[in-house]
Amino acid sequence: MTVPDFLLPFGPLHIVFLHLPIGGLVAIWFVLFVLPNQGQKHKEPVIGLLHLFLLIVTVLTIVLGLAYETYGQYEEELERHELWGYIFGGVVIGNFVCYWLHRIAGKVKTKYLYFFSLIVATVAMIVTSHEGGELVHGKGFLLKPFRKVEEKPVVTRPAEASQVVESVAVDKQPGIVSIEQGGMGIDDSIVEIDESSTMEMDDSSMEMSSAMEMSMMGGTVPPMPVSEALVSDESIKRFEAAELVFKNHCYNCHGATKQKGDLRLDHEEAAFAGGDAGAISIVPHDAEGSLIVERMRLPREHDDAMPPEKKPAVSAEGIEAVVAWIQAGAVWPDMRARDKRELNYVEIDDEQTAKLIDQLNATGAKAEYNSWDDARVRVDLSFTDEDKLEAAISQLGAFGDKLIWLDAGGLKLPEAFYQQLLQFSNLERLHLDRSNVTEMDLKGLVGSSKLSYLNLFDTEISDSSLEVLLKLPNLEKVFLTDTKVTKAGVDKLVKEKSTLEVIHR
Amino acid sequence: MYKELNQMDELSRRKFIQYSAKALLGVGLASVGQTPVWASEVVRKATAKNVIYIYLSGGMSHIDTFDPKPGWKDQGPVQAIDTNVSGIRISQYLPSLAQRMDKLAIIRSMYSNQGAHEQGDYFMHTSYEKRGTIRHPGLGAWLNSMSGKTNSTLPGNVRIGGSNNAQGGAGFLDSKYEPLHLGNPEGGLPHIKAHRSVDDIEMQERMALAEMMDLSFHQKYPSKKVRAYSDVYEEAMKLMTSKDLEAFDLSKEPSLSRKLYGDSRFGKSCLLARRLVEHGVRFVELTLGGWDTHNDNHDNVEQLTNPLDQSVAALLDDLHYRGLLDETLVVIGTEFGRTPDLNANAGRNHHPTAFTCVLAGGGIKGGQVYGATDERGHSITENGVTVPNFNATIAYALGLPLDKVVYSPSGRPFQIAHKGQPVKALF
Repeated sequence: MTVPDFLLPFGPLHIVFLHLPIGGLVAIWFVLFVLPNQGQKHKEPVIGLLHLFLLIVTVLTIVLGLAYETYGQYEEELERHELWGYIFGGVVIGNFVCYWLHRIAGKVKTKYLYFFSLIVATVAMIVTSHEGGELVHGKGFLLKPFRKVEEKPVVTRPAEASQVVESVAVDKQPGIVSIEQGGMGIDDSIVEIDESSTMEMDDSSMEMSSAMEMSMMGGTVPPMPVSEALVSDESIKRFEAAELVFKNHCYNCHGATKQKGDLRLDHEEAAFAGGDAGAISIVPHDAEGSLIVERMRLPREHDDAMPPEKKPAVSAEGIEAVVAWIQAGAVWPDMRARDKRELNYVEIDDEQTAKLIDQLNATGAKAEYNSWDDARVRVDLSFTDEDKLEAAISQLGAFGDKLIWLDAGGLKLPEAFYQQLLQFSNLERLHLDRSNVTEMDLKGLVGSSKLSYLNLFDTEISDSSLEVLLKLPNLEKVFLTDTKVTKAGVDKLVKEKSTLEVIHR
Repeated sequence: MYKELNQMDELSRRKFIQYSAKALLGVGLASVGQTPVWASEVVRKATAKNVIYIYLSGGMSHIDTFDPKPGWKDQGPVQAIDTNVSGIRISQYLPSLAQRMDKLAIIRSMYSNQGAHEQGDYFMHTSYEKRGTIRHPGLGAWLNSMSGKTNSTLPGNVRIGGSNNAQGGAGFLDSKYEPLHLGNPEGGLPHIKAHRSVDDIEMQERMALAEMMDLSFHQKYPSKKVRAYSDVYEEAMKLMTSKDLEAFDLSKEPSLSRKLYGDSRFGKSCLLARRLVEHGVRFVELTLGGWDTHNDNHDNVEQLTNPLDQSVAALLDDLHYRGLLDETLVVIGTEFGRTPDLNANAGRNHHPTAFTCVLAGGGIKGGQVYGATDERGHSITENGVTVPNFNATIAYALGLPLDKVVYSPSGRPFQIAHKGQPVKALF
């Protein structure tokens, strides 16, 4: 049976709509037999409407159910629910017909026929609902609270994995999993950890043990987050690779909406608790002993192979990713640790420099770190408030070798400014474009060993000043456009210092 | 059964919403099937301070401009010409830029997953896909919020041309990072003079009155958005009397440079952009529209490339000679390319599978081509660059912290380029 494509996304609404026929039917019973019987005529319109409502919502629920069948990737186990759904649908139609027969004819016989159809519809509804309920809540969900034996301990993150496996391997049938070895005892609810067994844990099991402690305290103490520092990037990477496999192959049947075999893999504690199969599905450090790996590695045609034969198989790399994750301790980082990872950039916090920057910025100049993980400073004086320029210049000296980039473009600068330039031993870039720089001032730069960029655009510099440039060993670029420098001067300069790029027009 | 109920309690809110969305609507919020790339250690050495972002709105035909395919049947009348870098050839529509190829880095392997204008435009500007629930900031807002504007009274983020509410504004960041929009590059800054009946004293009185009336409200609602209003007022007042206003006055420019940039509106925008950058504006975006050449592709592209070629070449020269090119990153971006095959109207359709963007200056090594497309310009054959990676490259040049997680007011984590990685080969 196929339904139109547009209905497919609405499939999950089946879970909501199915309650409407149930309510409708109950309402009919209620109106018929519970409400006081003051003249049948009084009730007729209501009952008529309820029957129409029942018919419509039943059809709707069936259609949505079919859509959900395609969407939800169910298999054979659905067949009985589906069959009973059709039966219920048929009975509801019959019931509708019987009702109108009775209402029109009003005989005793039709009355019995109508009541009989109502009972049949109710029985069919109960069976259908129960079948459906088992799909959602797992087989035998009705009696679950009364079967004490099946309750497994919620906490199982065994530290001594290999020993745990031995006990698990023996104890394969459903029932209680008891782990008594390796200094750990899980006995219904009391959990003890032998300190000695946790002593020789390596780095990754340290993460695990803190997670374990957390889950073990779960009952009484509010759970504490896994220490974020302990969850390394590596382990998050491994987890996310494994999670991707789970997402693509497992969550459909072992996720939030369905937990086939009572196994849920999208959530830490549920995943480690395992399912009906009895064995622990994920045993940290022991992929061979983990049931999920075993199931994934079974031959495709095997009854227990996972994912089931009809679903796409997990690729070899996918299985490897899961195995690698388990072998490394099956660390399950929490959301916050995963978000935290993205924060690992370095923020510079050099108190002294920060203070200098703030001070200088108060004058209107723009001082900032060269970039976000570089403690060196660049300063732009161009927008300094006019009356504060001298203050800014006198503060500049404090930066010393931290200053690598100085922009003094477009300013009338006092001589004091040029005289202190040599203090900045790491200065790489100097913008003096459109400033009042003179040949004398330039001479102050001689000896500046790191300077590689000098902007003299639109200044009064002339050919005679170019001698100075030759004395700057690391100078790579000089901007001489719109100065008094002539073409001949530039040619001479380039000839003497071939590594220098002269920008001149 | 109780166990299941207990487990539900422990689901984080985010997971719960994912599940609900999946169960009820059949959608997943998280993109499945893509392993995230981890932030490798990013060595930052910023050389760019400013950005001039030339946005070609509509989708520039890469085949007819920076990625010509001579020999392809639908290449049309346009020829490839040599540039001043041997081995690199671009379209004949761009003769001046060809002579400045040594300053350009052409990325021929851009790709996007957004084939519609609005969405593509948004993606290009913000690195995030357009969502109904949040507005992501553009690069200009990121830059100004992280690096801080200079003391210039001009706004740190300016947009020339294009529409007023274009993509990539301040997003969820403070409203003060919203770009100042100028429709006309020659019009100067509109509404900047006080009304003739209002003298200085009157103006001060009015501001004091406004401040008084706002006071109780500000105390009651000390939120970012409310504060942004008074910030805007304050900055507007400063701007009204500022000497930096002359940055907007193109008549201050010698006629020679006006001629070099050209008479087109776009040319004037380029000239204005240079003046603004010189006056401390850190991010200027220029929009040149009309690239949506579904009809008559070649005629249209030829006309569009005229101002583009002349003005950008002039801009590059000007920045170069003024020593600004090393600290100003010039970006030519567009939302997608255009199909190699011509349609029935001799036009080209949208093509996000492969397109071209260009970077220059700001520490970018010029004279290179990064990535390549196949013989008809349809698919990428090497070094594909995603839109987030492209934006990460720009942010990297500016020294911005790509790894930094910034939380929106609603507490959602975002990064400058959505986890994009910079293309370091370009530096």
